[in-house]
Amino acid sequence: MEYVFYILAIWTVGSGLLAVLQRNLVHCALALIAFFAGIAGIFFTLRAEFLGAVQIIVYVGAIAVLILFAIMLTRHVTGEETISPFSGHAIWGWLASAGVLAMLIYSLYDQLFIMSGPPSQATVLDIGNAMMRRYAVPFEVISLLLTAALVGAVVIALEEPREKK
Amino acid sequence: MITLTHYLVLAAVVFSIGLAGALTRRNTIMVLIGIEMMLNAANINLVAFWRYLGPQTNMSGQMFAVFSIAVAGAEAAVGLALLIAVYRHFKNVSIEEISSLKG
Repeated sequence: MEYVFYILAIWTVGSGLLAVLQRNLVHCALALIAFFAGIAGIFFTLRAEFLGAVQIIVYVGAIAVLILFAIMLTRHVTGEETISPFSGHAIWGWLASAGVLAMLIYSLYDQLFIMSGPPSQATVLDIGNAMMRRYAVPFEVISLLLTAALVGAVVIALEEPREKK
Repeated sequence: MITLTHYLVLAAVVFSIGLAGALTRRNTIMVLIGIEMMLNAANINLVAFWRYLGPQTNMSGQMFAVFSIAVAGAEAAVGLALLIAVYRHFKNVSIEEISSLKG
């Protein structure tokens, strides 16, 4: 079972790098879909099947399509970008993210995590019980937030009214 | 044996890639893509900690990840709507061209 994790990790990191580095925006979005699918696979290896399914439905299904639509609406359909991600002061961005990576890895170095018992397992029944009992209030709040985001997105993206001459 | 550290290192690498994307690209869509990647890295951490360190009956880790995915969905929808509004106004989505607060 170990090699499944390594395959998924290489898949995720590789497609993530492709999504960041490619010049063509549509290619970036397609690599991003592969990245999201890799993350869903990581969730499956963690025995969080519900989250993996949610990841596929929400990210691969909805957000990726949303991003593709945004690319189509704001650029030519081909999505060509003329500026390379390596040009000019982009080097500082790379240095900053490399520094963050070094800091995160360093904080994990020599860190021992003691497992208190066997790995957690959960069925969809457990998740539904938690969502409807202990986390009922956050659940309602998140539904309110989603409604507000839906209305807000529609209002923001509406065409501006033409000014009266 | 895959341990918690494996997942944490993977999440750190994914987070850094997303951060690099958000910092280096000029296009606003690419910045949003970088932010989505960073949110995904955080979700990996939440689920990995739930799996390896969480108490058996506690679902907090998965619940946090579910709510985080919902908030990320709302963020993506509003962010892309803002992007389309900005494009309609400036006819451009490059973060270097959009520099005036007063349209």
